[in-house]
Order: sequence, then structure tokens, then C-alpha cells
Amino acid sequence: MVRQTSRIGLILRRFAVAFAMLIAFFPIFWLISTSFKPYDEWAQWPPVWVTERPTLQNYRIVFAPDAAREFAATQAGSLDYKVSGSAWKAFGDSTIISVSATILSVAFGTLAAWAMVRFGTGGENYPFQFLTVRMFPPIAVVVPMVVLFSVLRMSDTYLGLIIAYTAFTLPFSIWMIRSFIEEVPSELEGAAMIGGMTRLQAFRSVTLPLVKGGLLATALFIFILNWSEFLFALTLTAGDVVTVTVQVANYVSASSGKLYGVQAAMGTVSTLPVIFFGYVIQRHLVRGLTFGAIKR
Amino acid sequence: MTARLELIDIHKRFEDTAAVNGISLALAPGEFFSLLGPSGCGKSTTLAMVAGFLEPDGGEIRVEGRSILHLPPQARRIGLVFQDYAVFSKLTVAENLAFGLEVRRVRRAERRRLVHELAQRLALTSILGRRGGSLNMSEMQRVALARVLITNPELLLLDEPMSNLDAEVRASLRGELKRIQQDLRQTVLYVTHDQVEAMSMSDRIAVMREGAILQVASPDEIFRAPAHRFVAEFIGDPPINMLPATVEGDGSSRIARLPANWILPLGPGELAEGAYLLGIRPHELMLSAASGTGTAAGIVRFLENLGAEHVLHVELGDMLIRVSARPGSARIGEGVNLRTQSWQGLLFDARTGNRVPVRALGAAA
Repeated sequence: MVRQTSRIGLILRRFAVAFAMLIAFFPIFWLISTSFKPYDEWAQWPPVWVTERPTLQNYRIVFAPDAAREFAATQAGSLDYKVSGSAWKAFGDSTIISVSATILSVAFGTLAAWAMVRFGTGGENYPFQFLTVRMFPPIAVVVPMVVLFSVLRMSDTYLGLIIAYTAFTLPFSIWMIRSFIEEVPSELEGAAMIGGMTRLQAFRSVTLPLVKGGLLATALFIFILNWSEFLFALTLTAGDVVTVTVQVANYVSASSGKLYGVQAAMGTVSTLPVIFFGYVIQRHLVRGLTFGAIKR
Repeated sequence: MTARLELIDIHKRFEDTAAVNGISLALAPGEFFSLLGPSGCGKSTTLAMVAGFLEPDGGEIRVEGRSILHLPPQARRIGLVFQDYAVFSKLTVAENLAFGLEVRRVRRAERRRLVHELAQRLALTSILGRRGGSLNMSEMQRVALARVLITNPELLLLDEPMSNLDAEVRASLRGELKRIQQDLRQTVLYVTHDQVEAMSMSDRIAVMREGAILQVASPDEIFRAPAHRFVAEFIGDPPINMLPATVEGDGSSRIARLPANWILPLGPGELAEGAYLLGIRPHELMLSAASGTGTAAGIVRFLENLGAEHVLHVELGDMLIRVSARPGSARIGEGVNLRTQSWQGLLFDARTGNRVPVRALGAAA
């Protein structure tokens, strides 16, 4: 009897897991599936789950301006002028901005977290003060920021978005890295200083190597935030700087509205850097997220 | 190397609490000196100030007569062994030992010579190639010790270096540490909350409480003549019995009236009448066949078997008194008579806790 209920429980659990996975993976499936569909199947009813006429046309529209022009002339009607160029620039812009902002955020976050953990800089509530930056929705500050950035002549520049991203991800950096540094006994730095190192040398040569995995995990997390950010990318630019997320939103035509297939193709390609980065640091990721196993 | 260390009127506050409240100490060259006290008494804070990790709010710290307060830790010629040893787990034992020499740019050949010399002295030669992370506690302690000794510090600071160890390892390391210290004539400032460690290794002990020093003396004197009831209660195992006593005059001599109608003659003296605390160590009490003057009747409520001796917990009035006794001399529930033997005559002011001198009484009392 007991066995039977547990078997039923097991089956129920498996169903629950399968259901959760279905919900989690369906959007990814739909994204990839749509990216290979021809124009007439994008929004067909009943939906086409997997197309029988797979095409690379959507990908060509994304990366080849000629294909985009031909597509506009023959099928979709005139495209937004911003997508007349290739998406390579969007990938380039996003890479410059996301990578720079990630490096800055993790670098400042590391120094700030070290100061807070080791010296109690700013007092007990200081880390929470940083969190308050994240406590109001970004949309609430975006209007004043647009004004500020135009006064500072930073709208539509790389530097502007890099600063905005760094500022908004810094609380996450500090909080994540803080927990990693807390795991490193301060005595290790102390021992290095007794051995003759300065405080900064001790930090660099003892603590930093021990939190490397954590820093990489933090960097991946921050990179994903930056890479997929849309609101600032939209409001703080005017066409010179175009990020991947903004470019996806730009795939609209006069006669057909949203170009789902093209957006799906661009979306599919834009997940690749994140997957690649995650794969490269995978080894550190596991260590970074299961820290605390440091041998004292 | 060996040096003289002086602490003069050191103060340190953490927000609202005074962690160290005006302590002064002088360590002679080659002296093994312990700071002993419960956690939070300011002993580790004091050590951190000597090491340079904390800055005192007031006072002066001198080594060989020169102030070291303006120096950062790496410029003070100290060796500090941490409670957790802080052995670098990814470096080998040899690399751990050579760490300070490498930072100080000592030449390779010289490094190698010093590492081997110290490894030999601390029995580390066979594990020089192992990584720090694979060592057991006793090996880690010796590595941590060797790592600081190799730079030839003027002062060796030890911060509760044995609190992570098993009892038997601790006993053997106490002897080893003392041997190394005597061998090198090293001045040692040892911080501990364990009275056995302090008593067994130190030349002198400072007992601390709430940021202040209650007494500085040799282990012998600390045990025999504690300056304060706190010192008496902190030192000694099994712990001392503290009984409320009323001292009354009986002609020119004095008696102490204790719980359960126990009257202890104190002999002739100038002692003022009034309320005191009377300290009797468990081994200063014995079971008496006879009842009568100077004895107290009680019931054995509990018994700690320590092997060589039993510690009886005897109910006396509303108190439990610890009495050291030979195994088999009493059973739980049995009524016994207690009397003193070679009592040291520890009497403390009931209000201030300071010891009041009183003539020691013989076993006959």
C-alpha cells in the first residue's frame, strides 16, 4: 500500500517536472521553430508547429541587406529604415556595451564588496543602500535619465549606455561577490600580510584567486542582464547606437506589422553568445555557485 | 630573535562598547606570556592591535622601546599564528614556509636552506611536498608556526592556536610549543580562553575581563592567590566553590558563617565583620567521619567520575558544593560530613569581588 502511494507520487512528480519543463522550453522551441518558417506560416491559424518548408530566408534578412530589400519589395512592403542595414552592427554594439559594462560592474563590485566585507565600509546597512537602486522600476528613472543624458551629451553613445548598465547592475555585483568574499577567511589575507605583503597585494594574490569562480559566475549573470536589456537601450539611443534587443524590435514592416520570423531568427542568434559564454565558464560556474567548500 | 614588548594604557572602542579599556603590560625578552579570559574580554582585540590589524584609540605599543604604532602589519617584525592557521591550501608545505621569504625577496638558495632547517626543527620534512589543504590539524599548526618563525620575528603572537584541536593532540602540542619557544628564546604573546593552556605553558598570565586586566602573575600565584573572585572562578578544574559567608567576631578571632549552619573558624585577625564570599577549591574539602564544629552535613546529589578521582556534588542548604574525593568514598544519595583540609583562605569582598587577605588556616581547622 505504502509502496503504491509512493509509486503514484513518483509518477505525479514526473508529470509535474515534465509539465514545468514544457512551460520552460516551449518559448525556446517556438523561437527556433518560427525562425525557420516561411513568411506565410509565421502567424498562421491553426499554428504550424514545425514547418514542412524550412527556409533560411529569415536569417538572410537579418544578416544580408540585399535579402532584406528583396523581401521588402516582393513580400512584406517597406521596412523600417533602421533595419535596412545588416544586424552585424547591432551584435557589435551590444558586444561592446555589454562586455564593457560587465567588466566595469564586476571590477567595481569586487572592490566595493571587499571593502564592505573586510572593513565594514559604510556601516552595516550600506549593502542595502545599494539594493535600493533596484527597488524602483527602471521606467521610473528613465525619463530623468533621458534628460540628464542629453544635457551631458551622452545619449546615443556607447559610453552612455555602458555607464547606465554599470550603475544598474552594480548592486547585483556587490551582493553576489560579497557572499563569495565572505567565504574567504580574512586570516588568509592576514597571514599574507604577516608574510610581508601589503593589504592590496594580499587581496590580489590570496583572495582574488580564491573567488575567481564566483567572479566568473557573477560576470555571466551581469552579462545576461546587459545583453537582454531593452528599456535603456531604446530610450537612451537615437539610431547611432543599436543594441540587439532594439534591433529585434525594429523588424516591423509597413504592410505586415511585426515580422515574427525575422525577429525569431535574430532572437535565436542572439542567445548564442550567452550559451557560448556559459559553456566556456561552466567549470567555474558550478564551483562559483557551490562555494563555501573552501578549505580553511 | 627575542624582544621586549610594552603596552601602555591601550584603549579600543567598537561603537558603544569599550573592547579594551586601558590595559598596560610589559613582556620580558623570551617570556611566554598569556592573555587569558572568556570570549569578548578583549584579548584577541589586544593581539590584533599588537599585530597591526587594529589601531588603538589611545595608548602606546613599543617593541624594544620603539613605538610600532605607525607601522603596518607587514612592517612590524611579528609572527602571528591564527586560530584557523590560515595555511594556504593550494600551496605545498614548502611553499607555505617560503612564502614570507619570497615576499621579502630572499635568494632561492637561502630560502631552501631556511625551509629545510625549520622543517627539520618542527618535524615537517616528510610532508614538505604535500598541499596545505591535505594536512591534518596538528600538521597545519606546525606549518603555520614554521611559516612565521622562518622570518625570524621579534615577537610571536598566537591567537587561540589550539581551540580547533582534539584533547589528546592539544596535550602533546602544548609540550611541543613550549619546547620550541624555549629552544628559540622567543617572546610569545599567547591568547587563549583555556586556563589549562595558559597555566601549563606560561611564565606569566594576565587574566582579562570586560576589556580590563584583573591580575598579572605567574601561574602559581594566579592559582594560589587570585586577586579577584572572577580569577578564582576562572582558574582551576574542577572549579572553585564560592560560598556566601558572614564574618562575625568571636572575641579577637573571627568565624565565617556559611550555608547549612556551617561555621568555619578563621582564627585571630583584623577582618571587618560583614558579608564576604568564601572560595574553597574542591581538593581543599574532604569527607569527615565525625560531625561537629567546623564540619557541614550534606547529601551527595551527583557524582563526576574522573577516573583517578570523583567529584562529588554535595547539597549544602540550597547550594551544590564540589568536593574531590577518592573513588568509592561516597554514593549518590548518601549523607556526608565535609571539612576543610589545607584551605588557602580565599575570601572575597561580596560587593567588589576583590580578594581580602586573611591568614591561611591549617588542615586542623
